[in-house]
Amino acid sequence: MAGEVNRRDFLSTLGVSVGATLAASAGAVLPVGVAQAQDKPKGNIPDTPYKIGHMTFFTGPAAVLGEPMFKGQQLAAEEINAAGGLLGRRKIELLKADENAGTDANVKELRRLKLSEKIDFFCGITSSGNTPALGPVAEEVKVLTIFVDGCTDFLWDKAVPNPHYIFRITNMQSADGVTGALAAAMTWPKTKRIAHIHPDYSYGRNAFDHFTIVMKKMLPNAENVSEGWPKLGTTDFSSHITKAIASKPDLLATSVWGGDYVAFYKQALRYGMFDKMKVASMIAFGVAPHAIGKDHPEGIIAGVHSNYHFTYPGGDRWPYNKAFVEKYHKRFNEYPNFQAEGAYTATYMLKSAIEKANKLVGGWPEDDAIITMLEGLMMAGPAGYVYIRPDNHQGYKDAVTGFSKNVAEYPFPILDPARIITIPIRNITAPPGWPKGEPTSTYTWIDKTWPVAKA
Amino acid sequence: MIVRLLAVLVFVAVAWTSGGAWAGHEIPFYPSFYAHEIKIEVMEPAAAARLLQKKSLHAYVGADPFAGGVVPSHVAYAESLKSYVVLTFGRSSGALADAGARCAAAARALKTLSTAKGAFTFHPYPVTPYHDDYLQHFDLVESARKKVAGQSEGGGPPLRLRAKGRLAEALVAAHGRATEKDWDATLEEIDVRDLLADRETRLNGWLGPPWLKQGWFQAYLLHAGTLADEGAGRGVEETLARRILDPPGPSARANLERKLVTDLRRGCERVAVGYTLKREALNVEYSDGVENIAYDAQGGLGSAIFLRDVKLKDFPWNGWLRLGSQARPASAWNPIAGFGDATGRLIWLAVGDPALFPAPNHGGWVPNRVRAAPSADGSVEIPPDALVPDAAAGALHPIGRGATAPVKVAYQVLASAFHDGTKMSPADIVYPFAFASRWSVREGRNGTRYDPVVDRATATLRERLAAVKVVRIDSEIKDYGEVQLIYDVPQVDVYLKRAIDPRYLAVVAPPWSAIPWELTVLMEEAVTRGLAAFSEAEAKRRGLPWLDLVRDRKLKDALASLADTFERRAYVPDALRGLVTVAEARQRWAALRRFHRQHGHFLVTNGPYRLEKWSSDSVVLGVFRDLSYPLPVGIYDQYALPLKAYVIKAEQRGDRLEIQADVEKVSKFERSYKIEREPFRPPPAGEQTRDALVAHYAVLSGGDQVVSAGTSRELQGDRLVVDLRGQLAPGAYRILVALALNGNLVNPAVKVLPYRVGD
Repeated sequence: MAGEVNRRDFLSTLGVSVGATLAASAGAVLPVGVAQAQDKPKGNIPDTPYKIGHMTFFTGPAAVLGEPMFKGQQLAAEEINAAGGLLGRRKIELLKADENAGTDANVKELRRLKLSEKIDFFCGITSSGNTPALGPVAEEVKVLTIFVDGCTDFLWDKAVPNPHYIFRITNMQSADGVTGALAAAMTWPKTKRIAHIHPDYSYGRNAFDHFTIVMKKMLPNAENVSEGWPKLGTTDFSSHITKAIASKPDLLATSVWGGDYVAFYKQALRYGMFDKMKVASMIAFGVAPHAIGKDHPEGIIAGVHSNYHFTYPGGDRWPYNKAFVEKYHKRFNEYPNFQAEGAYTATYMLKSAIEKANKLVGGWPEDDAIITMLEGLMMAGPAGYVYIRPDNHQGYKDAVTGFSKNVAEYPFPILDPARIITIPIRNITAPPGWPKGEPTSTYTWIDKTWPVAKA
Repeated sequence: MIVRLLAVLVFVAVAWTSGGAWAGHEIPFYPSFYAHEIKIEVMEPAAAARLLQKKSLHAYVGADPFAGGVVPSHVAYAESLKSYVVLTFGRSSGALADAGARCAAAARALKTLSTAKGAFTFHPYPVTPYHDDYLQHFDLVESARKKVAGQSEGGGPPLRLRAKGRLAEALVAAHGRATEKDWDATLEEIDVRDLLADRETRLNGWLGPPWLKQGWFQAYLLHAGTLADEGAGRGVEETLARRILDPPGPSARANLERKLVTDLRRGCERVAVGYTLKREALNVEYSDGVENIAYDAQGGLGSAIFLRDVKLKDFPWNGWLRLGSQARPASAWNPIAGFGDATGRLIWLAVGDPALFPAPNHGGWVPNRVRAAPSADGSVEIPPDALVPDAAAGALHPIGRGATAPVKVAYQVLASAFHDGTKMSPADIVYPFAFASRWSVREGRNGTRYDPVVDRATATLRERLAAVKVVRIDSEIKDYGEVQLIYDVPQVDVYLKRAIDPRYLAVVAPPWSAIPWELTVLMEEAVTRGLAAFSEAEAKRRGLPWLDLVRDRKLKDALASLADTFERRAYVPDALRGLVTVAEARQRWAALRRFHRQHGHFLVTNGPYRLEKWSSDSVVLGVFRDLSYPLPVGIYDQYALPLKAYVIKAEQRGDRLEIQADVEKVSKFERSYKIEREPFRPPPAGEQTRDALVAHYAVLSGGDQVVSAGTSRELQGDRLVVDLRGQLAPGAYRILVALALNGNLVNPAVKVLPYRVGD
C-alpha cells in the first residue's frame, strides 16, 4: 500500500464514510437481546446462580464511566434472568467491586472474587492502568473475563500477548487518534497548520502519535505548529489555549478528557478559540451523554472514544440500538454511554457463546468450550457488528465519531445524526500477525504500509 | 534518629513507567476536590435570592434567602440544627428563686409554647434528633413531652416573659405581651455555633474536644452557666469530669450522660423549649446547579464535608463554584485563633486541612489527614527517645527511660506539600505540641507568651498527651498503571495518659499541622514582639491588632522583614533543634518569603485550596491539584445524600432481638437522583458495600437505668440481630432501637420495644 494515492480514493479504500448506516438486517449474525428464540438446551443444566464479578468505578471521577458500565450489564442480566437465566436455568448474580480501590487492591480483589466467591465470569474495568495488571492475574487464576474497556494497546502488545481466558470488547486506544485524524482529514482537507493540546500522560501521547502519523499520510503538507501538554491536574488551560491561538492553526487536535475537557472548552470559549480554528477532539463526548453542557460549541469533531454514541445507528436503520436505548432509558432514566453498551453487549456475547457451546457438547459447557465459541464470534449489538478476533481476543467494531450539535430533544449536545463518521475498524488496526511495534503495532503498521495521499 | 528520618522523608514522587502506553484517558486520581475554584462573596439574603433566582450562585451559607416567599423550582435546601430555643429565668426572681416554683412556672409556660406556631420545633429537652446520643435520651425526651402534655394551663400566675430575638418575639407576641421590665424569664434563641464558639478551635486543624457534637456536652454548655445552686453546680462538674474520664463501656457512659442532663435540668434555671433548623439554599438546576451535596447535621453548609463533596453539574470534576455567605468577615485570618465568623470559618475549612473532621451525620469523626490504628491498651512502655513538650523551655525533650502510658495510638500521617512548595517533615508534625504547651502557661498579668484561646482549645490535648514519637517513614504507592504516585507516610506513635472511648481515640492528640512550622514560629515572634495577638480576647487585653496574615498590610510588612532576618540566620526554634538542619531552615524561610512575594499574603497551608484573591467582601480560592495531595476527588462521595433505615418489625426470639428493616437507596440518573425505600436485603456475599446497616440500641431497666447499650451489625437472613445473651438479669426491660445506614444517625426513627428476660 506504500507510495502515493489520491486522498479521497484512499479514504474510500479505508471505508471512511459520513452519514453511513449499517445494513438493516443482521442476517445470520446473532443479535443481542432475548427476543431471539432460544433452542432448548441440551443435557442437564444446573440451576445454581452464575456469578459475575463486575469491577468498575463506583466512586471518584471515573464513576461517570463506571456506573453506566455496571448498569449496562445489570440490564442484560435482568433481561436474561427474566427469560429463565443462562440456558434457561442459571440466573446471573452480579457481585460489585469498586475499581477505585487502586490497582494493587483490584488485583487482590480479583483473586478473592475467583478463589473465595467462586465467580464464573469477570467483567468490567474502565482504566487502562488496570487491564494490564488484571489480565495476567485472570489468566493465572483461570477466570473467563471480558474487559469492557481499559483499552490500552499495551494489554495485547505486551502484558498478555497470547490470551486464553481474557477478552476485551471496546476498540483499542490507538483507534482514537486514527479516527480523529481521518475524520479531520476528510472534513477539512485544506488544513495546513495543526496545533495540539493533549494531557501529559500516555493517553495524550498515544493520541498525538496516532493523529500525527495519520496526518503525515493523509495531509502531508500539513505541519504541527504548536504542542501543549497540560500536566495531570491542570485546571487553568489558558496558557495552552493562547499558545495554540498564537500559532494561527487551521486545526486544533485535542485529547483532553472529562472534567478537564469541560474546563478546557469553557475557557476556550472565553478566548473565542472555536471561532478561530477547527477543532478535532478524540474524546470530547467519550464520557456520558449528560456530562457535557449545552454551551459546548457546535460543529467540532467530538470523539466518543471511537466506540459508540447512543444516537447512532439510528433506530429506523438499526432496531437493536433503538431497543437498547429505549430499554436502558426506561430502566435507568438516562441515556447509555459507550461503557453501558459495551457491558450490555459483552453479557450477550457471553450468553451466545454459552448457548453455542451447549449446542455442541450438551450440559453446562466448560470454560474452554465457551472460549472457543467466543473466538471469532460476531454479534449484532447496539453499536453495530462486533467481532472477536481469535488471535488476540480483541473485540472490533466500526470506529465512530461525529460533529457536536444541540438539538431540542436532549438537554445536552449530541453527535449530529446527519454527519456521523464511521470507519471499519479492521482498516485502521494492525492486522493479525503484524509484528509488535513501538509505540504501538498499529502505529508501525500505518507508518510502514499506508501510502502518502495526494491532495 | 529523627535527623535520619528527615533524610529519608522525600515526600511524594511521581513515577512514570517507561516503555509502554498504559494509561487510558480515565486516570482516576485527581488530587483535591471537585471544584477547581471557589469564590465566596459576602452578601445579604436578598442579594443571594436574586443571584439564586438567576442561577448565578450555587449556594448560600446563611439564612433562607426566600423565607416567606416563593422558592424557585431549582432551589433546594440543606437542613441542619441551628439553635436551641430556651427559657432562662432571672437570677433574682423573688418567688421564682425556689426551684419548685420555677419548675412549675416553666411547666405552665411550656404548655403554652407547645402549641405555639413558629419556625421552631417544640422539644422540651436539650438533646435533639440532630445529636447522635438522642437514642439514649429518647425515653427522657418522651417523658418530658408527656409531662407537658399532662400539664394544665392554669395553676399559677403566668410568667412575665422577656423576648430576645425575632423568633422569641413572635412566640411571646402570640401569647400575650413581652415585657422589658419586671420579667421573670427570657425566651431566647441560642445558636449552636455561638454555644460552641468557645470550645471550637481552628488551631492547626484541631477542631475541638472529641465530644463537640454530642447532645450531652452541648446540654452542659447550654445549662451549666445558669445553675443557681452551687452544690448542684459542683455535682454537675463532677459528673462531667467522670464522663470525660471515659468510664469503660457504653452503658456506664450513657448513664453518666443521662444523669448529667437530668441534673442540669433539675433546677429549671434554664428550660429547653425546642430547636430551630437552618435552611440553606442550593441551586440544583440541571446545568448551572450543584450535586453530590453533603453537609453537617449541625454545621450545615459551613462544614468541611460540603466543600469536599460539592460538585458542579456541568463538570465531571473541576468548575467554578460560587458561594454566598451572610456573615461579614470580621474575624482576623490567622490559623491559630482566627477565622471565627461564618465566612472566615468557610475559608479556613477550604484552605486548612484538619487531621480529622466531625462526621456529618453522627457524633464521630472522619479521618482526613491521619489514620489511627487500633491502640494498645494497658501499660505500654514509652520509648526513651519519645518527645515530651516542655512548656517552660519551649522545647521538646526525650522522655527518658522507664515511662509508661495506658494507651498508645499509632498514626499514619498523610503528608503533602505546603502551598509554598516545601515538603512536610517530622518537624511540622511535632511542632504543634510544643506550641500548644508554650502558649498555655500564664506568665502573670503582662505576659506576652500566653493566649487564653490556645490554652482552652488545647486543654484536652495537654491533659492527655504523655509523649509522641515519629517512628519511621513508610512509602505508599498509588498505582495507576503508567503513573505511580509514591508517598512517604510518617508513622507516629502518640502516648496518652488516660484511656478514652475508642470512638474518640484518634481525636485527642493527632500528630498533625495544617501549616509549616516556620509560619507558626513567625506568628509567635510577631506576638512576642507585640505586633499582634493570636486571639481577639488577647488582642483586646493587650491593645494590639488581631493577627491577620492576609489583610493587615502593616503586619505583613513586619512579618516579611522578620522572615528575611530568619532566613539569613537560618533560624531554628529551640523546640526543633536536632529536627531541622540549617540548610532546611534556610530553604523553608526562603520559600515562605517567596510565597509572600508571589501571593501577597502568608497563609501557607497544606490544604486542598489556596487563597488566591481577596477583597473586603469576597475571596477566590484555587484548588491545589498538587500530586502530593493525598486525597482525591470523590473520596468523600459516600457522605452525599445520607440515607435512612427504618424498623418495620422487631420481635424477641429467645435472648435476642430480631429486626426487619426498610432502607433507602439512591437511584441516580443523568444529573438527578431519587431516593427510594425498599425492604432491606443483605448484599450478595463478598460484595463491597459502604451502606452497612447498623442497629443502635440501649436497654433500659425498670428503674430507667441503661443496663446494656451498643451497636449490632449481625445479620440472620435479611434480619438484623441484637444478641443480648448473658447481658440481662431476669426482669422487664424496654429497648430503644434506631437504625443507621452508612452511619447516618440524624433524626432517626426510634422504636421503643418491650423485652422480658425470664427466670
